[in-house]
Amino acid sequence: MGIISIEKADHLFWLGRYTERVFTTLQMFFRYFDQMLDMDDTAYIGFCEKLAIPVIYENKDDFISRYLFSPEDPNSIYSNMMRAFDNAVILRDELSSDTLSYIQMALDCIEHAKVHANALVYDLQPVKDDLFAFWGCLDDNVEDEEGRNIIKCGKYLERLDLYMRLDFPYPYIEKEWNKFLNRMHKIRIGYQVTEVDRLTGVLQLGEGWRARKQEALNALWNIF
Amino acid sequence: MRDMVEHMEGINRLMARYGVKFGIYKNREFHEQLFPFDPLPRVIPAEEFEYLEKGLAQRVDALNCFLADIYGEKKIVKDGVIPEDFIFLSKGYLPQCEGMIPPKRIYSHISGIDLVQAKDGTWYILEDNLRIPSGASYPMIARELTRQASPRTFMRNHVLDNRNYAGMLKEVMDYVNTGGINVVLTPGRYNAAFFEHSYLAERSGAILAMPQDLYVENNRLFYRQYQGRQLQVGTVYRRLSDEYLDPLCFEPESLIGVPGIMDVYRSGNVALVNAPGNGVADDKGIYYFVPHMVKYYLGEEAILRNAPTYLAFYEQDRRFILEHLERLVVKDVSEAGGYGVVFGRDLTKEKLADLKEIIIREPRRFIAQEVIDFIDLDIVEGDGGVPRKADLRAFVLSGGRTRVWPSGLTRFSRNPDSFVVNSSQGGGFKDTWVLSR
Amino acid sequence: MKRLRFCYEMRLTFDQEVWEHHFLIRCLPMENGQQHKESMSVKIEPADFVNEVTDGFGNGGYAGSVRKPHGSLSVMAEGIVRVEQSGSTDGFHPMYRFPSAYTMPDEGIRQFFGEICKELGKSCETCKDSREKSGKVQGAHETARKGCEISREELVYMMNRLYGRFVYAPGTTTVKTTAAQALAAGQGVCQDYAHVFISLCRLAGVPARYAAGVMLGEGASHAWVELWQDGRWLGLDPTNNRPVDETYIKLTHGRDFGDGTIDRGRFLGFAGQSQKVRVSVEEIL
Repeated sequence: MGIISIEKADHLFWLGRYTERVFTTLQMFFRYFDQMLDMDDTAYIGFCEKLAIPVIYENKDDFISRYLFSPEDPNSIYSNMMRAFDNAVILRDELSSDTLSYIQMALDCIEHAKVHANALVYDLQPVKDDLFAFWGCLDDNVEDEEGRNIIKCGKYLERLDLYMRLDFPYPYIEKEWNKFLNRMHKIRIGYQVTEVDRLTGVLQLGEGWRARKQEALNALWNIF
Repeated sequence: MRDMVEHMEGINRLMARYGVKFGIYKNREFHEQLFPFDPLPRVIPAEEFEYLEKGLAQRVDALNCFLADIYGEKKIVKDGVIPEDFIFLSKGYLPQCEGMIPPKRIYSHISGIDLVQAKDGTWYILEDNLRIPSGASYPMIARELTRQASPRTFMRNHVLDNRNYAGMLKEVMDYVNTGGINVVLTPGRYNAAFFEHSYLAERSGAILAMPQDLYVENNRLFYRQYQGRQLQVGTVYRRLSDEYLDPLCFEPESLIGVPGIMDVYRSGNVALVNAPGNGVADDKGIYYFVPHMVKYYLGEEAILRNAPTYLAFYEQDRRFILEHLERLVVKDVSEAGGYGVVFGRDLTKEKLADLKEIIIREPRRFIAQEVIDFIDLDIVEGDGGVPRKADLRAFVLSGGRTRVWPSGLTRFSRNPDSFVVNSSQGGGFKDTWVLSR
Repeated sequence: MKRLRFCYEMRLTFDQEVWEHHFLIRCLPMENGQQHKESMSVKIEPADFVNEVTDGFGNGGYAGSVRKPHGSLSVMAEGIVRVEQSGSTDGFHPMYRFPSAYTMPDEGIRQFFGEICKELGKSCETCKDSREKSGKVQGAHETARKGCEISREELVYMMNRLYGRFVYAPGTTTVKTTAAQALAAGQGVCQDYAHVFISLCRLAGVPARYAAGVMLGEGASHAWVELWQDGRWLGLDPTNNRPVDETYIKLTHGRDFGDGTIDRGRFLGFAGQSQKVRVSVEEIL
């Protein structure tokens, strides 16, 4: 279509961010969940600290149920999925009903698992599948490049943020940074050149970037 | 039909996947729920549909003439066919719309006409909805999904495709367009019919707009693009009720709405679908006069009948109502959505006496109708079918010509003792098949 | 006939900046058989654009917007108006027979109406029905059909009675006060006088409309009532208990206050607003 209002641009951007947040945090959750099975009951504390979310959970079981499913916990996977849905549902005309249906199914899967799950990783796998399908469908169904670029901008920005916080190896971060820059130049939303330059400078240090992690994160948050 | 029942699980899964929902407010909180779908369709044979089509188009044409007359010359009032009271005391009459001439002179572009079929086969009109009738999207998507889930059913039957609704809608929007894009204006995500707004926008190729996406400048309406380019709007299919449409013209405290849009409309620089002020033609009081309108404006006898209706306003009718209250259904003309409807047979002696008193005191407020024993349709419950009351909302689209969508929303009551089919009161829906032969 | 110099100044001040401000200002003398604008100039600042518009009641006005943040909006209209003594014949409409949001009669108004009828020796069916029947939707229906023989003198008498019963007391009512509430409290401002009087006239079967405007002198805007009598509008000013003459300039009219608001607007922002209006009308000799 190529007709995007300010509000819609905003929703597209946040749709990118929230879908990515659900995807990557769920993936990381699985890793920590595995550790907590029989190795480290308190592994979740480190997880929360890295993501800078408050440790409001009493123990590992409490963490598992609330971090995944609680609608009251604003940092839960469910809350983030809900926000992804809220942004997506008003973009039906932009995304198409087919594309939107994957977001609906991911949300329904979490709601179903909340009541029926007994093997969490297995039961929640469809959430990841649906998000992959959503992104694929987006590329295939959405004719408008502008809209796709805005979503991807949000997605890669969120991914960078999470990878940096969760201490991903440098090559991953470098790769996402390049993907982000590529999209950022294609959309017509103003960005802060100085912040982009600052982050570029920090990331040029290779693994050494970690010494200036906070500065890097700040720069990332201030780009838009 | 049986394989539709067999495929019910698949159909329901698809309904959930596509989020076929409607919203309701419970304890002031917004909830979305699946709109209960029954797979057994209402089937209308080709010949019968041809008859309905003629009757419905005639009715809507007359209603459009009436609206043009009321906001213009008011001949029907001057000629004494309809008493002034039923126009100027109606909540739906908006003097702000006096003298406005909508593009192509169409007032009701999308009319939802509710009908029931009596046991003897006669169809009766129950009510007209000329403001923002909703519901077309549900049979549209239900058809799409049942065709996927139960393909063989459609190989064997000869059912007219109803998925062209969006195409018909687009034709109407294009026909009245004053130059610019088509938008579907939704009040927002927390509206009961949001699914429909977004689905119709997608399918008709219109842009789904929220009120804040639109603005007025120099007597033209624009869509606010994020790159800052101006994009003019030629048709607004608005799903926002009249009173919230423009805070400078109607409800001044409305926070939604597009300030100044009515001035643009008055200047003929945008088409509003449907026209504001249509409420004067679809309340329960004016309903009584629709067959008179057909005669007055078109010089024809009405093809489709009203349910036998008595107007408490007229002394003779009032006397009849008071004498036969036990067998009649009484409706408050200022209520809608299934509220304000009382069956005389359900009332105790005291309640009947109370009602009589109110009718005598406020005759303008009530109409009474004979209770039509309408046919039940089977719905699936457990392993079998059970009969339930159902009505039909037909959609009539007025553009270059008046056309009836070959389908419709069949709503049913899930409660065996109830006649009330409104989704807000727990009803469900069926697809409506019009056969091609 | 009089020639009047007219000046309307309005200033809206916000305690914080607002934006996306859309306004509709109807501060110009109406053009009809009774009033004629000889010259007129209007300035609205700041504004991205201003368009001349007309509404369904026949009121003209200026619609525009200010998108950028701003702290105030000012309107200045001035010019010369020629006003005739006789009533205008424009814009009769049957809606003026029926109760409206602000003028819906309640028991109190009906009772007061009943007293007046009795004093006037009126006992026609219409007035009897109006007195006895109540209810939300009903109200004027019989009157609208039958009409009622009521003379100009009797209408003036009705105004006198209202004037005697009601106390002018600024600050006791708001822009939302209805006729019924105002009469029950027994006090109010010109808007309330007009609403109660309209309600009474419509009970008597006389079409009545609300007129907003200004009168000779300096001060704020004013409101009075126009009644449809013998094919023309008769202006009566219940606040001052006198007929409207050529020292009054009408700006808008409608069924009640809600239809003829002189200024309306909507903006974004969390500001409080204060409005100053200064009107002056002087005769040119």
